[in-house]
Amino acid sequence: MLNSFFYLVKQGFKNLWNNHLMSLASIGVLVSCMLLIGAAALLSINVSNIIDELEDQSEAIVYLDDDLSEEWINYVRENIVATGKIATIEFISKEEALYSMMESMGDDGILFEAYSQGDSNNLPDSFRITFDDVSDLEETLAKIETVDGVYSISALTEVAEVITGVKRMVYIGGIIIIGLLIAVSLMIIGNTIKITVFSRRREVNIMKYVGATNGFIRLPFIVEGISLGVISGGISYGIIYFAYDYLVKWVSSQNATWFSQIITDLVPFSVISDYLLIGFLAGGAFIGLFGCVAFIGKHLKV
Amino acid sequence: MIEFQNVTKKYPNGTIALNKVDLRIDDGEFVFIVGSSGAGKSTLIKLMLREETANSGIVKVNGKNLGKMPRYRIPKFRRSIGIVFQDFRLIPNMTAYDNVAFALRVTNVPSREIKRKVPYMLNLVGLASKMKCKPEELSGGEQQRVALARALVNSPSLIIADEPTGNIDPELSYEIVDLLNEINKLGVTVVMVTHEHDLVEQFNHRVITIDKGEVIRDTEGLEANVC
Ligand SMILES: Nc1ncnc2c1ncn2[C@@H]1O[C@H](COP(=O)(O)OP(=O)(O)O)[C@@H](O)[C@H]1O
Ligand SMILES: [Mg+2]
Repeated sequence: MLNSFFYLVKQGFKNLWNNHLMSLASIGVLVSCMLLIGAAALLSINVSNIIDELEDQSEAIVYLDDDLSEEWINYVRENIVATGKIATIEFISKEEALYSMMESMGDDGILFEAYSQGDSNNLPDSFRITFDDVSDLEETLAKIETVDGVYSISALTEVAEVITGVKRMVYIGGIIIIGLLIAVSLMIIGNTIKITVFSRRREVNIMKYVGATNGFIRLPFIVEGISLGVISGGISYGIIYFAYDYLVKWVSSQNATWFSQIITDLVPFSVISDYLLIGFLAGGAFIGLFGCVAFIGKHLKV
Repeated sequence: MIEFQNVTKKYPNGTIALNKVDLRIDDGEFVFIVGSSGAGKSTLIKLMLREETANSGIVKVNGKNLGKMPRYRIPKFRRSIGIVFQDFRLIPNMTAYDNVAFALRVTNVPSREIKRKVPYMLNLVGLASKMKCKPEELSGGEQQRVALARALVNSPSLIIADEPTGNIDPELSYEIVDLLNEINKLGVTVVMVTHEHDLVEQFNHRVITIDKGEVIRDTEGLEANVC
C-alpha cells in the first residue's frame, strides 16, 4: 500500500519539476491572487479596526425623569443593559452633571455655583452609555426610550449610520473580492492539472489498463495541485510580510499629515501573522486540492 | 473464460459496432480475431476490458458479469488481464525495466517482488540485455516485447492483444505471435486481434471472423481437431 503511495507522491513532485515552466506560471498567477486576497483581508482588518475605535467612542446620554428612587434607577439600568449592545454604562447624578458642566466652562463655571444649593439644580440624572455595536442603533435607542423612567436620549445616530454602512460595505466587498479571487485561483489550478493530465495521458492510460485504482491514478495530480497551492501560499506570505512591515513603518513615520489624523497606526503584523500564514498555507492546500478534485474528473476518464 | 451472449454495442453517435454477438472462449485457448478495419474488433476488446459496456446482452469474463460490475471493482478485475496494444504504449522517458516495473509500482506490489519479477519477465521475452534501454533505443519488435513483459508481469490468466503486430516489420511479427504462443502453452488464455491473414495462417489456432459487427465465421485450429 505505502509502496505505491510514496511512488505516486514522488511522481507528483516530478511532474511539478518536469513541467517547471507551467508550474512557475501557475505559481505566478496564484501568488498574484493570494496577494490580492491578502491585501483585501489586511485592508478590511484595518478598516474594521478603525471602525471599532469609532464605535468605542460613540456614546449616548440617557436622561432620566425627575426624582426616581434608587430601585427605579437600577431598574432602568438593567433594562438598558438588557438590549445587549452596551459596552459601558455609567450613572451620572444631577450633582455630578452640574460639576462637570461647571468644570467644562472653566472660570465662568462659578456662575452656576448658586444652582448647587438646595433644590435649585434642575439638571436631570442620566446614564452615559457606550456601545460595542452600533448597527441598528436607532432600534436600540427606541427600545431604551420605552423604558419607564427614561425622559429622553441624546446620541449622534448619523455617525452610527455611516459606521454601519461602511462596515457592511467592507464586509460584503471583501467577501465578493475574495470569492472572485478564489474562483480565479481554482481555475488556474484546474488549468494546470488539465495540461499535466494531457502531458501524462500515456501514464494515466497505462495505469488504467494495469488496474491502478482511481485514487492512485489521481494521487500525483493531487500532490501537484496541493504543492502549487502551498508553495504559492508560502511565497505570498513572505511578500506580504515584508510589504506590510514596510507599510506599518511608513504610516507611523507620517506624523502631522492629514493621513495621520485618520490612521494613527495600522494593526501590527504580529497580531495577524499567524492567521495569515496558516490561512495562506491551508488555503493554498485547499485551493490546490479542490481545484484538482473539481476539474480532474473532466480531464481524466478513469 | 470469456462469454458474449447476444451482445449489442451502439455508440452514442448511433454507430452499431457490434450486433447480437454470441461467442465463448474457454480457458487456455488461443484465439485470433480477424476482420476488416471498422468491423468491430476493438469494440469487442473494449467490452472484454469493461472499457465500454454493452447496450444489451451479457459479457462475462472470468466468471464476472461485466455489465453488473461496480466501478470500484474494475481496477482489481483488470489486474487479472494483460493488455497489449498496437502502439506499445511505453513511457518514453523510462527504461525497459521501469516500464515493466511501473505496472507493479502503481498496483501495490512490494518492491522485493518487483525486483524479482521484472528481470524474470524481461528475460522471458528475450530482452534481459536491454533492461536499461529507453524505448527509443529499441526496435518496434523489442518495444512490443517490453509491452508484453509488462502485460505478463501481474501473472494474468488472460492476455488480450489488439493488433500487437500492426506497427512491426512482418518478419518480426512472427516472433511476437510465437512468444504469445509460448505464453499460451504456459496456460494463459490469449485473444489476439489482427488483420494479417498470412500471420494467422502460420499458426493453427481458432479464428473468429467479424464483419460489420457480426461474427461471420468461427473456425477451430487444426490442433484442436487432432485430439
Ligand atoms: N468511441 C466511438 N464512438 C463512436 N463510434 C465508434 C467509437 N469507436 C469505434 N466506433 C465505430 O465503431 C465501429 C467499429 O470500430 P472498431 O471496433 O474500432 O473496429 P475495428 O477495431 O475492427 O477497426 C467503426 O465504425 C467505428 O467508427
Ligand atoms: Mg481496432
